[in-house]
Amino acid sequence: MAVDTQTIADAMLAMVTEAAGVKRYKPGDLSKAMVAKFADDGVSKDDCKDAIRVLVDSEKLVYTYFNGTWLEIPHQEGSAKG
Amino acid sequence: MNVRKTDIGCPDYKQFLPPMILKNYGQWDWHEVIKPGVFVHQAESGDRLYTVRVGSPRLLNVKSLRFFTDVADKYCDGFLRFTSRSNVEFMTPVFENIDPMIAMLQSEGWPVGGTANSASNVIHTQGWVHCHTSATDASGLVKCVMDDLYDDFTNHSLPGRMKLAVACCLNMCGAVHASDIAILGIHRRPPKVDPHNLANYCEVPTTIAACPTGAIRADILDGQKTLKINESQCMYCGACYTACPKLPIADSVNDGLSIWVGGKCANARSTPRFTKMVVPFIPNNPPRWPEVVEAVRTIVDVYKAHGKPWERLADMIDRIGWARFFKLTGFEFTKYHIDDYKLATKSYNASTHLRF
Amino acid sequence: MSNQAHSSSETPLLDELLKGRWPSFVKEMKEMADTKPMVRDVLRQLEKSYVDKKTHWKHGGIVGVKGYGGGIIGRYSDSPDEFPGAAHFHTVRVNQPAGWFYSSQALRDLCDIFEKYGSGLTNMHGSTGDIILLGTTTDELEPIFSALTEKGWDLGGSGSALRTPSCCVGPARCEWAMFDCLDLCHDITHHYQDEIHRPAFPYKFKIKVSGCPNDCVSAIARADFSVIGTWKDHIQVNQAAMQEYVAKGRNPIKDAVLLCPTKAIDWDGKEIKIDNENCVRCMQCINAYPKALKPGKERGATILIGAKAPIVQGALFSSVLVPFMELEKPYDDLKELLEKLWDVWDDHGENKERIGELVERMGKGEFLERIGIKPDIQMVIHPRENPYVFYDEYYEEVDEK
Ligand code: HEM
Ligand code: HEM
Ligand code: HEM
Ligand code: HEM
Ligand code: SF4
Ligand code: SF4
Ligand code: SF4
Ligand code: SF4
Repeated sequence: MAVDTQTIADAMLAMVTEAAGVKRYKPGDLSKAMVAKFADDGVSKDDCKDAIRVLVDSEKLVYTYFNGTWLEIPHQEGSAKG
Repeated sequence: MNVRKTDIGCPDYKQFLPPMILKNYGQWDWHEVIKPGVFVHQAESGDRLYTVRVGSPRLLNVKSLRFFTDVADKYCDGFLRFTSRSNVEFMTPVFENIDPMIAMLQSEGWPVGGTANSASNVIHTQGWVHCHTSATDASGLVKCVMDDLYDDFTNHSLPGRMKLAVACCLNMCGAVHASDIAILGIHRRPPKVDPHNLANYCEVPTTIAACPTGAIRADILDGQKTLKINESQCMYCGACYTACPKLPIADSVNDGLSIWVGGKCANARSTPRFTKMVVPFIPNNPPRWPEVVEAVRTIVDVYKAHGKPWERLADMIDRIGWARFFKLTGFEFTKYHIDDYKLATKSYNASTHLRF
Repeated sequence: MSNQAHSSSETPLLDELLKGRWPSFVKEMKEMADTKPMVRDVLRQLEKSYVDKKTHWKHGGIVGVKGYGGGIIGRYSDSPDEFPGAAHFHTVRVNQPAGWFYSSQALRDLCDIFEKYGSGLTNMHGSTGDIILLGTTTDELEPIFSALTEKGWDLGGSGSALRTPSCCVGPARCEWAMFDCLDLCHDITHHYQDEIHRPAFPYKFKIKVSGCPNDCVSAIARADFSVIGTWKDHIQVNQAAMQEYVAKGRNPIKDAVLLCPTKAIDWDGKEIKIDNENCVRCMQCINAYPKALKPGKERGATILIGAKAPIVQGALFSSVLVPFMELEKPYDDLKELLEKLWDVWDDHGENKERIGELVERMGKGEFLERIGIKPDIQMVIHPRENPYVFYDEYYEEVDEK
């Protein structure tokens, strides 16, 4: 592939950041969007998985669970506010 | 500094198998239930392994677990196992160990049983002990029902196997729908919106998206953002409360229980099937839920009186028919018993096969 | 026992559940409340639930350990000022060993960890099969995870992930196991660690493994992917052992002939005869006469897919996908099938759509085509009844034959 993992990760992070508070994305939503966006570069689902792992391991994104799993910017949830 | 380990998976089960099981793994020949709660398995080598089964409330503290390890150390070469129904099993190659082991377990109040034609331990879920969408308390119900069925757990007093389950809401975290008798918690009213400062706690668009039936829409109350639920569309699933802490679904007055019977998982004789409703609603009556205990007792007594050997409750009802089952139990048949969801017509009787 | 109800008890209603013969979960909780203030507050909160008949928990969706998307279930009190010890009380799901066997040493290690870093309360086990530590705080999550992995334990699955696979006791202690369920369960758990810990599916996916059609782990009702042992050839019969049962007073007419769902058994008073072509492998006669009747020798499993609970579209049992599959290490056929299913589900599944719902929405015929499996009459109870068929093959009027 012509793009590296970090580039995919950055594009995913931008997508999540832009929609924060309005729309949540599942890991699969991000992967599908990236496969489409980088179609010419032949980015695969596995490349997207690696990008997600980079984002989560560096704690730029966290997995959340609200009726299914989402990837979100770390934040304090409503339930934790007492 | 230690390297942080991840993805190591579960430990290898082989290190936890007692020596006699390691030796005879996959070489078992036959088994028999010797008495309630005790079986023997014989291997092709002629080795015999005795198992003592003990019922637990599933919620166990570390003291109880340590007591179990003491029993295992004393009688079972330091090994033990659990079953999918939260029973604990102690295995020993020594026949003479059985009775002292049972005595040790019983001295601390642990019931021995749950084999063959006895009432099983109850598969159940979290309830008020630990879940946010519960319509009732699973652990409390199990305790009350099993206090009453205690002698049926410790004896082979039933015609066939009887598996019980409790789920504290429709999410059914515990395969209740395929049990002989199932107690299911139900909500009957939509969540109540707490509009105070709602937007601070709730991502409004994602909460709206959480509803499987599209019953929620945004609203403005006194100039503040809030949510509104369309009552006729809500199916009381609690998904929105999972998304937003300002939409609690629990309701002191309207939550309660329903009772279902005649499900099974095993393929023996008849095919697996789901439970069917017999009691549409019983209000919560903690701490002892006497109406639920009585309804379960009624079902068990009818099964004891009318079931034939090997028949599960479902098999018995196949034979005697639902009409007679309702007659024998005295449960009232209401409009709520008639399915009104997708494929409901499959449950209509399109024949003149009737029992009078 | 140290927990007699005091007249001054904080939990008079719960104390009613200390009475009676069945082991009491309230006793289990009270014993920990003596040393764990958090448990005392959880008990006081539970008492409040018993008074006002509703739950006082809120859902937590963000807490977890670094890098994982599952294994921790967040839980917060809705009255943290009243019950500060219950303010956070998260569940930790620990992946159980296959078959739920333990050495006392391993179980004591777990107890020590749970007591040090949490409430000291457990569920043995959760409905999915995991060891459950019932309650710890957000701050303790990383420390408990390190302590667990140090002793060789890892977290199980939650969220839109592969959930912790589980299996029956199988060949470890059951003569009817048609393949090595423990090894299969262990193998796929390790092979799919990424799928368990980093949720990437449209929704949850459960695998349960039972060694024979008795289905002791309720795979057919509880798993998206149910593996249930079976055999292809003839039931093995030991006529002499049959005679011994009869000598002891057993009646094969009542225990087998009349109960066989397909009337495949004859008993003439001396010999049992089985019409194996007509046997549906239900296990009844084998359950009734374990010393005399044994499953055949050509063994494997039936793969069924799609069970789910009632929300949203109604409950489903799993139904047949592969009537018979041999299961030998390294289980390549099974893994290839799983990955094909996940691919199709990934591409077509909607959020919160279990694979069984996808099959229903897409139609089983179409679904089979996408995963490349040929339709088989064993996949249905009977051929279709409704005549509205959308045929793929037809001629346009302009086509000349
Ligand atoms: C006609 C009624 C019912 C049907 C058709 C039905 C069907 C199902 C199905 C197909 C599952 C699959 C499990 C999964 O999605 O993982 C399930 C799970 C479950 N059901 Fe039911 N169910 C019914 C009624 C009940 C009732 C009445 C209860 C409780 C009283 C119950 C409790 C459960 C529980 C606790 C599970 C979770 C199993 C697990 O994943 O561990 N169900 N149900
Ligand atoms: C729209 C919101 C939500 C919906 C529709 C929803 C739905 C579900 C469903 C269907 C399950 C059962 C599947 C499962 O076992 O995972 C579940 C379980 C669970 N949910 Fe949620 N959930 C929502 C929000 C949340 C939030 C916000 C949290 C925590 C902050 C949360 C925590 C849990 C937990 C702890 C479980 C237990 C089961 C598990 O994760 O394995 N959920 N939820
Ligand atoms: C909107 C849907 C659902 C929500 C919000 C939900 C939420 C929860 C919650 C809060 C718990 C308790 C976790 C804890 O405190 O330890 C739980 C447990 C669980 N849920 Fe669900 N659930 C949902 C649907 C389901 C469904 C459909 C299933 C399976 C058919 C399921 C299977 C389970 C299982 C197996 C557990 C573990 C229960 C136990 O061992 O006690 N959930 N869920
Ligand atoms: C007579 C011989 C049988 C023996 C020795 C036997 C043994 C067992 C064992 C050891 C378990 C615990 C499995 C585990 O969770 O690891 C179990 C569970 C189960 N058995 Fe059987 N079984 C027998 C017959 C049957 C029959 C005839 C049925 C159904 C008609 C059945 C249905 C089940 C079910 C549904 C479970 C799961 C619930 C549980 O753990 O108790 N079994 N059985
Ligand atoms: S059955 Fe419902 S209330 Fe009970 S633990 Fe599961 S989601 Fe919670
Ligand atoms: S309880 Fe379920 S159906 Fe009712 S509004 Fe909430 S999410 Fe929708
Ligand atoms: S499912 Fe079959 S093989 Fe497994 S423990 Fe039960 S009876 Fe034995
Ligand atoms: S296994 Fe079941 S179907 Fe087959 S012969 Fe025995 S009783 Fe009949």
